[in-house]
Amino acid sequence: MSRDRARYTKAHAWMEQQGEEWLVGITDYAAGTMGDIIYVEVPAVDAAVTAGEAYGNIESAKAVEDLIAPLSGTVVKVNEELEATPETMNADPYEAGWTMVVKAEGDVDLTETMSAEEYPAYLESLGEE
Amino acid sequence: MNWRLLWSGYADGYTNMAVDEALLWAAAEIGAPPTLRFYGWQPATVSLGYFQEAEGQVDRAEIDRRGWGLVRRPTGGRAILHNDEVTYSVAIAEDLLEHGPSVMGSYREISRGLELGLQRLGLEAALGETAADPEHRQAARDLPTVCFAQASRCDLVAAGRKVVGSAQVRKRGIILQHGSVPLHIRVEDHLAVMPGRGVSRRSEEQLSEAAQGIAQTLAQRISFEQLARALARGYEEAFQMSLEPGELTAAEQVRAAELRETKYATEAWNLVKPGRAR
Repeated sequence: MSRDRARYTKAHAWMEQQGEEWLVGITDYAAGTMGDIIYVEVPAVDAAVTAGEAYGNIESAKAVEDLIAPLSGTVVKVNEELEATPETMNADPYEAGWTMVVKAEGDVDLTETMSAEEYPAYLESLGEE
Repeated sequence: MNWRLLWSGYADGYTNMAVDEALLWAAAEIGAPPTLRFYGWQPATVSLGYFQEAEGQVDRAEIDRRGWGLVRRPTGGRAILHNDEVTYSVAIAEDLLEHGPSVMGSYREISRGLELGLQRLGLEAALGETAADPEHRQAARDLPTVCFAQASRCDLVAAGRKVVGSAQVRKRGIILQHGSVPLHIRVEDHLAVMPGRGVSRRSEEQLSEAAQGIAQTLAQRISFEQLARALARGYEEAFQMSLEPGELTAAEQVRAAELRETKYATEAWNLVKPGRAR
């Protein structure tokens, strides 16, 4: 994926448009705040996901946390590899650590999302970078 | 900001987990204040981590034979036998913590109250710094599933042993962290209900050495109340606040009853490992 072209959410998801579909994952900031990721729960193919709502779970050594969908639509593909190698989300969150591909429901509302330039400024506003 | 203090007494595992989740809900939905809760388990109960498989981890027939309970937690981590212990839970908004967004940072921050509380009892507890490398993690999966057998980064350790087993769940900006502070650990009970993949004599010996409760480590008689009160004082010191004894609100009681009935008391929740989002 291209980190420059991707859009980012305040819940630290990234999404990149690929034709009618969007590739989704979590940012390296999100992976870093979780610590060592040991389990990932992704949705089933054909599941409906809703922007701003949980689509799965992620577990680090100490916490379980929701994965928050950056857009609404239907899941067309999930990263099955994460079940066996969840640590990929720490090591390579923008490539091998992707979570799902979503076929968008109508036009995707990007107003609440950030560009690759805006996201680091948002992180800075959180007091961490 | 002062925190609410709940003394919940003893209940079964379904109720205990339902009340903890209700506290998370109340903080997210109705702005409940930060809450520190202490409780015990009656009957003794094995809790599974959110992502753990029941099959192969616990001996259900043995748990039933002893009249004990089994429940899946909303939080991560490994299986714990809750018996002679004090269990704490903290529900707090991320933005009320200095290190709210970071799992490890917030975990350390919340654990600081436990650390100071245990020090009040004369136990030189400190947060461990041992990083969990991939080999260590794999070993932890293969070993008998006893939470106290192995300390990971940020576990509270005293006299070389893990003394508190904690885990978090984070939803909608709220952190629920709960954990077990054993007074006594009987390794034979743990191994009877959580045999894992088979236990050698050597691992039983290792476990007896590695896993001991607070009273055993201090070689003193310590009651549930003594330990819980020391931990409560530790929290007041760590967060520079006063704890105000309170009760569950009516809304929290209703939510807890719903969660108990529809989630924590069901086999679907307790026995089926999540693989696809529920």
